[in-house]
Amino acid sequence: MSTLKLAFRNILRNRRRSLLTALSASVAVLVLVVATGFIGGVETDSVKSYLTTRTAHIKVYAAGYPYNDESLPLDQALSPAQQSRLVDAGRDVGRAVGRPIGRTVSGLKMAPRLLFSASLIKDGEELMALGAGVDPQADPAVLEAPGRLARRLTDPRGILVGSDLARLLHLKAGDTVTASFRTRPGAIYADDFTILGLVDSGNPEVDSNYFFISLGAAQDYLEMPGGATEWDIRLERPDDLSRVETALQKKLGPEFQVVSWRKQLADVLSFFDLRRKVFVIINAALFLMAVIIVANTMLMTVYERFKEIGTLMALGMKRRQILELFAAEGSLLGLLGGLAGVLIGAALIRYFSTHGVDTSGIRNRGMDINVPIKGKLYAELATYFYFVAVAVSGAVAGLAAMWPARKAAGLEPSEALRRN
Amino acid sequence: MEAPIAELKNVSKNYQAENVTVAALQNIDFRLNPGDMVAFVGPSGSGKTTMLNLLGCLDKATSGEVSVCQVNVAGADHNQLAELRNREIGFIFQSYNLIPVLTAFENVEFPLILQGVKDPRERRERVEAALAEVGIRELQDRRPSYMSGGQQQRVAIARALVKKPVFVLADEPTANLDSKTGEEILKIMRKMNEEKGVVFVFSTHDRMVMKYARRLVGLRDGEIVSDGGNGV
Repeated sequence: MSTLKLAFRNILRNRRRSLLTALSASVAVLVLVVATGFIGGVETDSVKSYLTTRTAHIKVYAAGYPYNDESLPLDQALSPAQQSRLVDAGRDVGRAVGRPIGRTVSGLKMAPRLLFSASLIKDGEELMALGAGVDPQADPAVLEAPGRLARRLTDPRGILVGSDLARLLHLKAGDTVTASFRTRPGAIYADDFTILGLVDSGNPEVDSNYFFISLGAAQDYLEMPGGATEWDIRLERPDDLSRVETALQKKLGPEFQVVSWRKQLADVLSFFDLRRKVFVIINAALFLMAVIIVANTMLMTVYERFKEIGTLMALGMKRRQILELFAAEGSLLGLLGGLAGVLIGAALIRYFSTHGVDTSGIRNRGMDINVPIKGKLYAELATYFYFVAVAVSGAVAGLAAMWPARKAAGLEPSEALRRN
Repeated sequence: MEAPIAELKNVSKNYQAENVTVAALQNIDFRLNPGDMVAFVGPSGSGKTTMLNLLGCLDKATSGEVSVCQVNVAGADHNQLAELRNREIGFIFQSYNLIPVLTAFENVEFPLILQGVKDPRERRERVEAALAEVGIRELQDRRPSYMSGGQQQRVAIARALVKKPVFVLADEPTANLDSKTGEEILKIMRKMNEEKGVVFVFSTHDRMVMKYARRLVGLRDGEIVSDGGNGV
């Protein structure tokens, strides 16, 4: 009769009480699993959304360009000569980090963009927007917004509009809209443009703010021949990020600023971090409740079994063995409860990783949930985490049982036998 | 003269009940000898259970010297006393005190596991022999709640004897049994005392226990007032 087997039989004595106690661990683990799954899923999808629609892996700007605010100054754009250096440096670094694909070597893909502030006006309604001049050939290889739609930008008077922005202005493909913006020399320019398509990238930030025009047309309208405010870089292997960032910055020198997506999204990542901390606090509170419930149950068990503890001591059980027995009972309650929580949690994660949770209802009510994902949020959880959750539950419950267990082990045998 | 199995020299035991000190035993001298079948008799509160607790190393004396199987109890730590109880002393309780989640077999097997008898076959043989000796081998798979008081007490005796202790302490072993069952239990113990030399120490009010004991030690107010054979 091992300690574990005896502990298992003991927790089956009062099944209802054990079930309720294990349930507290189940709830804590269930919340841990499901919330971690959603937080993880949303973070992964958010980063993916930012990477594919806005930040790319790396952006290169002229030194001093305020990439983190919305001023989009044209006088701090990259000159054609700087861009030429940048392309050369990119090629070199790409070769260094690249790997053979067939007969070619591929390491990174680059595309220029010219970002500018603008207004879109339709039927007297005006909305601030962010214009992006994109290279119709190179841009789709780097970013998915506008992606292949960029190839439609052959007419200098044609633009692609973010789907949410279009909705707000009641626009559809084929409509005409007036765009107004300030050129680099400072003149106000306004003209009518035909909407060649709507961009539905899935990132609400892009879809509700951006319109796209061909880079050449943007340079012409803004009177910036050959100009670009940034170059976007996509890596074949995202693991090369810091290597490429460092190598490029070193090659380009202080005239440029090489900014990885991590730096661009520093505020977002801080928010993720804060959210995780808040979640840890909430989950710790749930586990604390489970600890109290397990400790309370084990304490009741000790009080009920004084005489039995005395008998075990009379039979020769040592204090350490008594301690182990009660700690094992607590741990088993935690493990079984945790296992139940994980099983239910795994089923929910499995369901929501396939079907997701639709957030369109929330967004349609005008609520911002700070997630760059439209439509559904999907859960995602690494398999090892399920084992961690069960182990944590067992360990926490075992620790919770230590105080009652020490009380049991500290009894004098004669005193324990005297009590009922 | 043979060395005693256990010996109490000028032993006193006080209990603290709230702010009052209660003297449970006073200046006791006692020797438990090989072959003894001794009963502590006396009214409630006379110190019978305290004597058993001291002999069973379940408690320590306030003053005086207690030695059990050549071990000075006062100088032994918890683990040493636990081992002493496990190897040398059997316990039989008034309320049987079987572990309710274990079957009769497992209850009897438990002290052997604590002793570190690793071979399951050896444990099985010893447990079955002990259960057979008290006549309940066929009940070995039952849990205590499915057994009568008499059957449970037999399991308790088997549990006490399976480890081949030097002596067995039995606290009011017949108190919860009807007289017929009580006598059957006593016959088993007497037989083991006579045939195998198992030393039994009882505390009792029961005249039948006194009848089967071969030595009666009278206690009153924590003092031994008589010690001698009962003429049986």
